[in-house]
Amino acid sequence: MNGVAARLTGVGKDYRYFSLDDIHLEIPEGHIVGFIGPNGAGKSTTIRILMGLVHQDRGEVSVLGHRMPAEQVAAKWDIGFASEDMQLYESETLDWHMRFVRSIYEAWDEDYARTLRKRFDLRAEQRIKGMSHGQRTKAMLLLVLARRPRLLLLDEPTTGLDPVARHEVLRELTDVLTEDGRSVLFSSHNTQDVEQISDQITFIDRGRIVESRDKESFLERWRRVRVEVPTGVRLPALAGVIELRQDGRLAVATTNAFAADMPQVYEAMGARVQGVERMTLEEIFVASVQNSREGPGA
Amino acid sequence: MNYAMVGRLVLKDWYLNRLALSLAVAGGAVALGLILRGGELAGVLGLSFAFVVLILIGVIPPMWNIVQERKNKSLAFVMSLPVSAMEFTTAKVVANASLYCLVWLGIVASVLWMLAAGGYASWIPLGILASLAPMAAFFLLVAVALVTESEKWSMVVMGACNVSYSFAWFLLVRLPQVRADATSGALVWSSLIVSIIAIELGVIVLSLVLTFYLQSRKTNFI
Repeated sequence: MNGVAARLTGVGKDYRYFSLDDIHLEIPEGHIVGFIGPNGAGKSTTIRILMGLVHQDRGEVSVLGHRMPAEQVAAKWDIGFASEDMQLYESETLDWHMRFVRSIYEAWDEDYARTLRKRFDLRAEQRIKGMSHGQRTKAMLLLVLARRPRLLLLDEPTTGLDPVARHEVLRELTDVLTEDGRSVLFSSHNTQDVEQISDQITFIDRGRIVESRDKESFLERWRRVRVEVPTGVRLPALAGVIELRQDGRLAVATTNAFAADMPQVYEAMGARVQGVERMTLEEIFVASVQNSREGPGA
Repeated sequence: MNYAMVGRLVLKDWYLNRLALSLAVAGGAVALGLILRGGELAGVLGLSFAFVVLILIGVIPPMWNIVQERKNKSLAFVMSLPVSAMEFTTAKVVANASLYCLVWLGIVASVLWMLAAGGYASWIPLGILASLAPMAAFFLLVAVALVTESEKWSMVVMGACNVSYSFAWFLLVRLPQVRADATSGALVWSSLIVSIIAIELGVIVLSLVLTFYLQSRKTNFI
């Protein structure tokens, strides 16, 4: 599983009030990549470019070995796409949609579809317009998953779901990866969902990739260090410290390159380290975005 | 071009428009029944009703299949399937045109046959001209709906076409030559009628060509 399911290289897309710029992103085979960004950051545009539904103005896009958007039809046979902005036909039943999708995809797995329908507690004969938001999302995912795509592109699939429905959806996505070679790009502004299931994480903000690495590295590299400094002393910013706040004798240093000897370095300066705290993905995301907005390139 | 995929999308749109098609067929049958009943009032009512059916079947499927599909966010579902922009466009044009032409042919052929059988053959050129107007408007609406994906622009085209029918008809029947030809009792293809029919056919062809050309250049589909 060392291949790459999808790759964007130097991709850009210009709109009147928004630009996606110099996007470099890889989705390794067999991985769930969490794609986190605030509203309007460019998550949906990036995913639509991967689907070939929006054509990039510059850069190269390759999905499952196909150049996009030129070879989008060949690629879409193996891509499952679901988006918060996507709806099924309201006047028709889930069963009608299942028959329609089954008529297109030879790989449609009827047993798996039945299993998913039971697991998601959906009724085949129910019209889409009579379903709740959560049921509609699960119906959409059923249609996507039962055709056994090699790559899943999910644009905010858990937005607006209640905790139970969210849990069911996330569990199913994790199960998808038990089959070799399947890959997922999962966009959300809910860091909890992403933290729960992803093994790679990419932050995007204002149309640019801010940071991208595996989840463990993210969580290991970021720390908040609380330090008590002698009166009248200003704590210097060490390498890797992206934010340093000092109020009197108390200082808080946020770093994205934590090293085990960092507390000793501060203590060697006469400071007393009160604690080294791990950060949640949400805290890391906010700090990373703020750093990128205030940084030299901002 | 994956014709099997295009066929599936066409069948889907037919199925989703089954109610509109059924109502149009029923409406057309009522209109023809009124004309067959005989008498001036029933004939005028029947012809008017047939014209209304032609206008409605030219508006409802494009607005439902194209504009509402976009508005209801089902377009993303369709475009996520292994279908190209050209296959999608072809399917939309074929699905809508086949629905329309089925009803149009049934009504227009019946009306023309009734005119010929009832001794009103001289009205046939004007009848063809009048029935081609909603068809041209239909293809124009399909083009605008597909290319702009805008409900607002589709409504503008729809409204403009509907207003222009009465206006064009009002101007046309006031022309002495047209009235003379229509009431002559003989089948006369005047150059004016032929020219207008040619313009209507030109609008249809141009709408189709522009639809495919502009769709092929589109870079954003949802």
